[in-house]
Amino acid sequence: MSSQAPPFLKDSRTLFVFGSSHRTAPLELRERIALENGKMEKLCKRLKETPGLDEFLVLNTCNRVEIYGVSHNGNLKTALQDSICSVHGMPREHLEAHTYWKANHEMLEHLFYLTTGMDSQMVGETEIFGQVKESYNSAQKQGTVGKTLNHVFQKSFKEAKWARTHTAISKGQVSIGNVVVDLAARIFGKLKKSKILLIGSGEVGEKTAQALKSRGVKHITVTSRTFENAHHLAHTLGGASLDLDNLESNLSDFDIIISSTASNDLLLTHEQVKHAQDERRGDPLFLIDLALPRDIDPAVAELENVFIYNLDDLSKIANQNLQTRLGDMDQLKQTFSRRAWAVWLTITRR
Amino acid sequence: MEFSFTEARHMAGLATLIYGAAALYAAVSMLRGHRYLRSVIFIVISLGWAVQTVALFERGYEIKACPIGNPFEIFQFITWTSVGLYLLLVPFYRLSLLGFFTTLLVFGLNTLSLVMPGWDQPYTGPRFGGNPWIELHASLAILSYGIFGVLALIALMYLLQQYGLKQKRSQGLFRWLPSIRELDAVGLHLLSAGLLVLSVALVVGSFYWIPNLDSVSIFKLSVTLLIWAGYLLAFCFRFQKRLVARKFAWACLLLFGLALISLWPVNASRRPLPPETPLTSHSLETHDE
Repeated sequence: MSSQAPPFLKDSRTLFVFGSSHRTAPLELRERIALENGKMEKLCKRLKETPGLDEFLVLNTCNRVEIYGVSHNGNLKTALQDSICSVHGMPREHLEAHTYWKANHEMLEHLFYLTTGMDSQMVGETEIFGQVKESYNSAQKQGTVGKTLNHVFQKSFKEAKWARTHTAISKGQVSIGNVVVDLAARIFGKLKKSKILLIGSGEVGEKTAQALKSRGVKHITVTSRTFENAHHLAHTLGGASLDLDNLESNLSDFDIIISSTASNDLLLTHEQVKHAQDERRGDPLFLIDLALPRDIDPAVAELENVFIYNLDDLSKIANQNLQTRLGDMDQLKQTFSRRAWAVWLTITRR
Repeated sequence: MEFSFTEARHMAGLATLIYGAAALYAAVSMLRGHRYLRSVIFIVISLGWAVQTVALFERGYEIKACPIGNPFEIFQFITWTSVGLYLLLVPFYRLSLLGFFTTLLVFGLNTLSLVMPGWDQPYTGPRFGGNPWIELHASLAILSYGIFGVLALIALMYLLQQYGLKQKRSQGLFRWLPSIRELDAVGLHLLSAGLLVLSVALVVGSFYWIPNLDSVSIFKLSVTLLIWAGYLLAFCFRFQKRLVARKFAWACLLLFGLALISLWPVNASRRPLPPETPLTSHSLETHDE
């Protein structure tokens, strides 16, 4: 890995990224180095005082702490490492083995991968794009980014948008909750008016309901063997609670039913669903069975306009989507390598 | 044979090629894993429709009547109506892939009308004895067939989306199809509109049939009424929610298929032209070929 600017450069400035991420550090370390409770401000203050550092931007997410910068003093790795360690009050050797330093066109490649979601734990996720943008805006306000980093980050945003439009890197959802949202949209279109019933107060079910809520669902009802749990979760989700004993009589009111209980018996039988569907008079019904053993009789799949998906079905779709995303990775890496060189040459000849 | 902008068949052929190009573009985009640009499809289809409008205008100008006198013209008129309806629907319903399916249907039917021998039989115009009521009736009836054509496309898209969801397919075409609820709602709107237009067509036609019952082909009248009754029943059952989901979609597809097939016997039941009848300029050219 080159850490010095190539010999044809007009000056000896180095464009770099230094940091630690889910690729190099375990969760415990990432928790320790997270820049919370005023630590970000402290780090920025130290960086401003670092000799040779012309421009910088700090990116702090749940999966990474990274410092992007321009230096006229060559490799600042040790100084930056010391800054991070001093902010957290930890010895340098705890961090040393879990960091990376990438310079010049390799930093650009890294940044392009990052904004596109190629370096994320969940390949192709788009949240990172917003996080980078937020950090960039914050650095702009503080005046820590200059001409070079401005140009570099603007380029990276462009590259991310290009990749999303022209490749499958962000296509299809890869989390269970979002796969459910996609499927629900294929059945109901806009989800705003859809009525959701969540059976059980388990974490997977809650996350799925949250994903639906984030797409505009307003009517969420929770039912559980323990009414208090249902009531508590309903409160969290901003919905209503329903006594489990009244489940059958209210079944036809709901468009989407998510079940994730620890019950050993079927909670929804073929007869119950058929009866509910008859009452719905042809309106589609989407059943999501996240429980093991299953809560809903799989035979309901044969009913007209009833769509049932279990955990295996959803995981299969998530994996297919992930494979589609990964399929475009090699091609994107080649493209970004070429473009990183082009941007790097532009910067050095400015 | 040289291409002529003033020859209706040539312009119809050009429009068909444009629709085909739009379908090809959309298909290639989707095979590459990308959603096609709706604006591109919309512009290309609009261009095809403009060319087809010129073709129908030229034929109409030639026969001095609405060009719905032989199977070629009827098919052209149905596809022209379907595309016009698609262009009208686009601003109101954002139904992805409808453009692709429309171009496929229109390309298929137009090609059929162009290549089938004897479909563009010469006749003296106007075909309907110059009676404006019966000409209005025929135009409205074929307009309703155009609406039913788009309804059939919606039904096909519905069945595909249903199949994808039941079989747990989420890749390729399935992820871009509109939701089944949207398709169902649009289907009901189109059925209502098509049935209304066809009913008006029958009422208008009755102004001629009732006083001239002897000159009306009973077979043609029966087939037309049968198609209308079929759509009316589908509407009533759908309204009562007795014909929903896949059954409703299949009914729409089946009825449109029957409507298209019925054009053969309806056309065949027309009395042939007497041999001494003078031919139109178009007819002469057709014979020369």
